[in-house]
This record gives sequence, C-alpha cells and structure tokens, in this order.
Amino acid sequence: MGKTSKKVLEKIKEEEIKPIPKWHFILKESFIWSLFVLSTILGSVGFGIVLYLLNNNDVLQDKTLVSNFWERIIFGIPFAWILLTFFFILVAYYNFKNTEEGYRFNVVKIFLLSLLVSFLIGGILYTTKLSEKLNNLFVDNLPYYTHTMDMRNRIWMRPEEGYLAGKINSVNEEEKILVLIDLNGEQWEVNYVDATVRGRVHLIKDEDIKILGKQVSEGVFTAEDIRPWGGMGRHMQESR
Amino acid sequence: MKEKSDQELVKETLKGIDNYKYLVERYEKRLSTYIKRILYLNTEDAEDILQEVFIKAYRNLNSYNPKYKFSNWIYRIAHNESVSFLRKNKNLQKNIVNTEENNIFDSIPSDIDLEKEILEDSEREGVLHILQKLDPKSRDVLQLKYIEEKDYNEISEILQISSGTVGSLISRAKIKLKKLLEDGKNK
Repeated sequence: MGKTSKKVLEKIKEEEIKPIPKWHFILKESFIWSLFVLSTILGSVGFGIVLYLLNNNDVLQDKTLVSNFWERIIFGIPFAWILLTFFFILVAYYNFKNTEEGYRFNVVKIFLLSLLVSFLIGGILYTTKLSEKLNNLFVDNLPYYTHTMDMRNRIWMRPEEGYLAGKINSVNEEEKILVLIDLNGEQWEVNYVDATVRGRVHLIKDEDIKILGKQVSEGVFTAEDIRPWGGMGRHMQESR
Repeated sequence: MKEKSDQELVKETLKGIDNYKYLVERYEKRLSTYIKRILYLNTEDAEDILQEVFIKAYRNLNSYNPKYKFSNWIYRIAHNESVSFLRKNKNLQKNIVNTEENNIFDSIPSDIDLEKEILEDSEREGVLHILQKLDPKSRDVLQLKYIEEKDYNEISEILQISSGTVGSLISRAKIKLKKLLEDGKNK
C-alpha cells in the first residue's frame, strides 16, 4: 500500500468518517429543483400581475388623476412587482445553475430561458384572468399591499378629492342610489342620478367600480362618472 | 481489483473502506502533480491537500454520478480544494508571482506557437515558470488543457462551467500568456 493511501485510510478509520448517505444528495438536488420551480412560478405570477396592473391602471392615460408626470410614473408603473418579478427570475436562474447539470448551460442562455418561461406562464396567467384574481386576493389579505404593490388604491381612495372605489353592496335602481363598500371597508351611499356610467359597468351587487364625483358629507358621495375597476382605454370610455 | 474500472472501484469502496486504496493509488500521483502545478507548493503541503481531497472524495462518494468520468469528478474536488487553499493563503499567490524575476523568457523561442510550446515543453522549467505568472483561473485552465491533456468537456466537468466558457477562458488565457512571453522577450 502506498504512503498516501495508507495515511488516507488510517485517517478515515481513525476519525470514523463515513460516506454521506445518497438520500442526502437526492434531497439536496430535489430542494434546488423545488426552489427553481417555485421561483419560476412566483416570477410568472409577478409578470402576470405586472401585465394586469399595467393594463388596468388608468393613471397612465388619464392625466387628470394625478398632478404631475412623476406621479403618473410612480402610481402608473408597478415598480415593486417588476422588481419582485426580476428577483424571482434571478433566484430561478441561480437555482438552475446550481443543479447537477446546470453548469453545462451557458449563463446568458439560462437567464434568458428563465425570463422566457416566466413571461410565457405570466402571459397565460394574465389572459386567463388568474393574475387579476391573485391580485385581488393579495389586496384583500395582505396588509400594506395597496400601499406598495397595487398603487391604484391610493389614487382611487381620495373621496375628499372626488375619487372613490370599492365593491357595490346594493343598488336602488329607482332612486339611483347605490351602497358601496370602499377599499378600506367603509360604507358609502352613492347617488348616481346624473352620472355617466361607462360601458363595462353593470351596476350589480359585488361589482368592483371606481367613481369620479364629489363627497357630499361623511359616507355620502355624488357620482359623476362611474368606471369599472379593471381596465382602461377605449372600451372603458364608451358610456351607456 | 486493480483491473477494475473506476466505477466498479467506487462500488467496491462503498462496500468496504479497504477497497478505497485502489482508487487512491490510481489517482495519487496524477492529482499530486496537478495540485503542485496549480499551487506551486512543496511536496509536503501538496501531500496535505491531496489527503484532504481523498477524504472529501470518500465522504461524498455517494454524490458521484457514474454517468460521468470518475477522474473528472475527483479532479473537480482537487480543483476546489486548491482554490480554497489559495483563498485561505492569499499571500501565496503574490509569492508565486514574485518569486521568479529571472530570465526564464530567454528559453522560449521568439516565434511562438503557444500550444506547441506548452505541449512540448510542459516538463521544462521555462513554461511552468511562465504559467506561474498567470492568474489562477487562466493557469488552471491551461494546465488542464495542455498539461493534463483534458478536452473541453472534461474541463467543463472539472471546473463546473459550460464548454463555451471553457473555450473563452482558454483563448483569454492564451492571449495573457502570449503577452507575458512577449513582454519577457522585450525586457
């Protein structure tokens, strides 16, 4: 037996070194793959929500909603979700690179692939309206979500300035009065006698809407323009 | 036992530690030379690192995938151990660069065909000394390509980088080496 092999074997026996069990490596590899899949899904969700928020935020088109260009950018572009999406895509890329075979692939190609997969799945989530549902879920359940991730709420929850949004609780069609639960959970009585009701608004219970008008008193609002919560652009501008 | 393949010896080692000696004996000389050439260490220090390599290899034997060459797997461990040794001994790199300020460049012909030069003269002091002056990454990749005679895929497995990156590392390292040789000639 050679000198090195003798020393190596002696040390292994002396220190009772044992090979790490196979399941340990399988578990580690599975963990890395799971993180890759999870971060790809989260990146896709992020991209889907970015698409939804960009396509459903009228701040970018309606200059009257904010006072200057920078406010339009800050409130119109979902920066937090964009950052989060790229973060998850980076995590996905990092995990893929650290899989057993990951090193074989070109770094740029892996990154572009992660980006492409997230964009593709995100696009599907957006077209199937799943990203909208998820966003609504976050709005309802995550504290501070509307202050950081979905800025539309900050634009449309300024009743003293004439902006109000929420869910219709009940509608009195004869008197043209509806009861609205705003985004903060407060109840409003909204008179819409002289209001323009946009094409996609149905004025039915549980419908999400946003209203331009005037606050008359505490909990009382007069609507001038009723718009659907989601959407912007041409279709929304058509009135009934 | 000595005629068995690496893969078979891995299986045998997992059955009984005493069989590990065949793998150690098969690779000790090659890895020792590799470590000494990367780190420019004396035999004693290289021996310590080599032991660590074999112990680490034994500990991680179950992570070896028989789909790939065992030699690349154990070279990877040797590479990683050498890199972490360099990290722990940062002064070593400086010393490597500063030790040789002699006229080693004079021994290299002016009309340089690098590949031929390194391949044919890998045992000659001159080329090994010039390699010392390269950064560890460039040195490592040139050692593996021209001295250990590994192909791109093997280097890719050892260094855990894509074959494309291996290609660009080698061509960058060759440019650096060429510059060193030319600078040496002009001194």
